[in-house]
Amino acid sequence: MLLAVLFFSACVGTLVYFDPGLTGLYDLYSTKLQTPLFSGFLTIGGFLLTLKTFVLIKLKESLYGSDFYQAELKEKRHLNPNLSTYGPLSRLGHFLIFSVVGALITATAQLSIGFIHHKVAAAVCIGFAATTLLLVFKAWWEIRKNLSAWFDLLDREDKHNRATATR
Amino acid sequence: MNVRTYGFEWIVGAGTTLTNFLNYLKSENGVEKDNEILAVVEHSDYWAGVLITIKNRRAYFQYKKRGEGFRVSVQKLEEGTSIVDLNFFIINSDTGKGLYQHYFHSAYLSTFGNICAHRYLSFKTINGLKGRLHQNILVKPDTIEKYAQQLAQIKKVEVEFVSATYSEREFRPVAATATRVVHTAIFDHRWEHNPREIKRAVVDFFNKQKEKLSKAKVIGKDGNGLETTYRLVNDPDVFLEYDYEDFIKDLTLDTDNLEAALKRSDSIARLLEVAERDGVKQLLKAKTK
Repeated sequence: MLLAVLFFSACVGTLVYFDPGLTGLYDLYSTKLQTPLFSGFLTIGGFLLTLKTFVLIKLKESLYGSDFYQAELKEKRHLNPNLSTYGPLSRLGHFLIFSVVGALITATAQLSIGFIHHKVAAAVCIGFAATTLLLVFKAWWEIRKNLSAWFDLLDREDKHNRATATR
Repeated sequence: MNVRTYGFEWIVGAGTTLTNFLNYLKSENGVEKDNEILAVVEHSDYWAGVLITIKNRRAYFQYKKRGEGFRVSVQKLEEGTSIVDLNFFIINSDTGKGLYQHYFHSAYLSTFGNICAHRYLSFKTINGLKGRLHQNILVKPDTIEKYAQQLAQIKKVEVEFVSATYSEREFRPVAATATRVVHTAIFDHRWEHNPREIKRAVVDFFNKQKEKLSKAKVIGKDGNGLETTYRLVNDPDVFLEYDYEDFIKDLTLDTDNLEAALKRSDSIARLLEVAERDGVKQLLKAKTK
């Protein structure tokens, strides 16, 4: 959260300072960026909302809720009793919701703050977009890592089953 | 006299695996070097081994009670015989963690580590490798905190800890490999004039890090004002303790069937049984990165 705020502030500060565009930041924003940012982030928000539910349910069933993962977790708790079962999944769910909210706020900002004719308003709207993009990439990255972990788990389970079958 | 079982960890140098080193040791089973004989054999999930230390004595003193008094006489050993100490151990070749048996006057864990590190030098030379064999002591939670609590005043603390733990990650499932934690800390002497604060801070520190400690030295004063040093390296966690008489009965090893004798050994069976206990099993089988 703190990183997102710092990134947002850095974006806004940089844009206000450099004031890019031939006729200023606001003109650049209102002619080239405002509409695409609105429609783009509205789409991203909707897409993430549907993806979130599907991903969380699938990960819960296939990875965190699998018998093999539960058995491994039970063993690992002998070294660290504080390991939770669904903690990481719950936090991922919250992060995805946060990303969806971020995308919707970004879209809304284009249609509200975006009409204030000032470079700071333009910088804030672009800052929202950049920060939300960062959150979305982070969310996709974590989903990818979870999928890799799921495939690793399937491999370990397969090796374990084959080793058990040959005994 | 009791036989105690301690935990240890081996880390080999780069470019080789622990299995390669154990196979090298196996190729020298029964070979005497500097009055020491090492033998290892693969046995279920572990490698079982024994360190035989040959004592350089041709005679020993015997004490015998006679009525109200006693008699001490010299007993000479037969030609070609010696007194030996036996230290059995097991080690998991995947994780490098194992258990080691020790009794009074036999080769201590650090001595065992030095002997094996010396053998590693030969292995390294033959295979053109770099690095050396590191040995760490494995501990269970609560040990050093207990020692620190016993001191009335703590003057100095030096700690190094190596252990394995699984950390919960923010957005991902628990990793398949455990995390190896190594941390060295030396206590700040500026707090010398506030003993209560020192002790509270040290005990808090140990309370937070207790599951990871492997080497520590706590110097302080006990309740009688006597300076006391607790060294974890000399007082490591005991995983099992039993009587020497149970250890020594029916023990025969000869080079004709050294490997078979190791596999049949009651001492090895005891070590394997301890290795399967909850808590110990997870510690010994935790692969660390």
